[in-house]
Amino acid sequence: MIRFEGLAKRFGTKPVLADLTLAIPEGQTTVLMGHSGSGKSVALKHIVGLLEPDAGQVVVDEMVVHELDYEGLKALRRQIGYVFQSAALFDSLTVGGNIGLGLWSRGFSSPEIAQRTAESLRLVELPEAAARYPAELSGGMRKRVGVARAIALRPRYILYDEPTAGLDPVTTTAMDDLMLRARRESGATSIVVTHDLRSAFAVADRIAFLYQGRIRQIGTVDEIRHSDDPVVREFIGERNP
Amino acid sequence: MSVAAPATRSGERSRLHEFLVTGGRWVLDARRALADGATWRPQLFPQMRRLGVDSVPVALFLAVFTGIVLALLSSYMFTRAIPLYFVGTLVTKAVMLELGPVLTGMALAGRVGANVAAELGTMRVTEQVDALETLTVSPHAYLVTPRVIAATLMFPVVTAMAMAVGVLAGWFTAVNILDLSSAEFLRGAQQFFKFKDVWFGLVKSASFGLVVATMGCFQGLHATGGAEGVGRAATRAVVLGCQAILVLDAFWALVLL
Repeated sequence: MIRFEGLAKRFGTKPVLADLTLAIPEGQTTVLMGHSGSGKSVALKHIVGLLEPDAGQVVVDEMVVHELDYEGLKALRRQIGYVFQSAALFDSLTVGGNIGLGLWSRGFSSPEIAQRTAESLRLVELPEAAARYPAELSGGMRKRVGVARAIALRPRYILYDEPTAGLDPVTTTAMDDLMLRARRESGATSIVVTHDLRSAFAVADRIAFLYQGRIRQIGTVDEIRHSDDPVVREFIGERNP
Repeated sequence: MSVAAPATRSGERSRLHEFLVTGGRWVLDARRALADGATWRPQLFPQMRRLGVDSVPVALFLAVFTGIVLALLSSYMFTRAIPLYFVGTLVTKAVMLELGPVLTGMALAGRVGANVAAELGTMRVTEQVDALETLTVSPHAYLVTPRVIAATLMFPVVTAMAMAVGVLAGWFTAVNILDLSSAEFLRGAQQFFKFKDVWFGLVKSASFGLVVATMGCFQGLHATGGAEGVGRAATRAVVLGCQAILVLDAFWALVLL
């Protein structure tokens, strides 16, 4: 179970998160939605301890993330797969190397690494890509490799940071299908950060709308679609003319 | 002014505090990373090749011209005042003690410092460093430690080659342009030679490698703000690396000579 409890974060004088409070239910996909710069990605980075809060806390499985020591943080990160907005693939490694690195750091043997790499590449429909370098892949393929890298670890939680940003509509739909398939096959709790309405409605069990550093509304896809909140309505309206 | 002064002092205190906190974290991370040999050992030889072997041409180019100019300048200074075989003394001493290590260090600070800062800076701003952390691979063990060890080991090797080539270039110039015989040049070179001259230069260059790579890694991992930030990090790594070399050069002269 992941909980944000009064999380606040500012960069310089600019507040990004102010009293963010939200509980993420187990086994579901929760979409964090909001305008660009509303602090969605910042909230996600607090879950894996990439950022430290100015106030409040993130609690994962009853552990306060920013209070964990080095080994505790490592143990927590082993439960989490993180798909970065830019895919963040290591340029110097092949696709197989990118996927295998996290498995190697968890102590898997070479045959196990090869097997899991092949399985996760099959899941993202890139079975022949293991020997290729990230520079040889398209943007959509890189994002799928990013997903493969995360799911190869078989994590309890998968965090997606803007998984469809910069993708064309066809590739966006393929990415949505991939997220649904990954959840179905792994049963992992997923958090998807996005401002892409179509994608949010396709993958979410619940949507939390973030506005000015706080949760403005939380509900099912239907509840958000038919929201009475003027800020949410304006966001949905401006994205769905 | 009376209003601004406390604010400035508070800003300086906060910067000092941040510097101490960051420095402390780096020391802790470095200790953990050194113990994590399984992560950094496979990266060590590729880095030794990239940072050391690939830097040899630049260092030798510099050494050749340093040797030539030293021989010509010393002959110009010594004419009618000091026996010309002292050209061999000056070339050997200057190359071994100072110019070999320092000029090679400066050249490698440009090449290695900028290379490391730009590579790690790009990894930082494209979230590759964050990705390493989420995969529970320590960036210090995977990125910093092999580069720092490789530079510390390879700077003396490259410097030793530069010393040899610098002295040979001085000898070649003395014999072919200054009409000095090989025996005279050798006599000058041997007259005040001490083995300490060699290891003093090599110890210095190892320390230069350590600071240049550390500076490059530090600046790279703290890069912010996209391509412009990576450029700034690379520039700072080179400038601070060169400054550190000059400070260390004076330090070793005080301590070891």
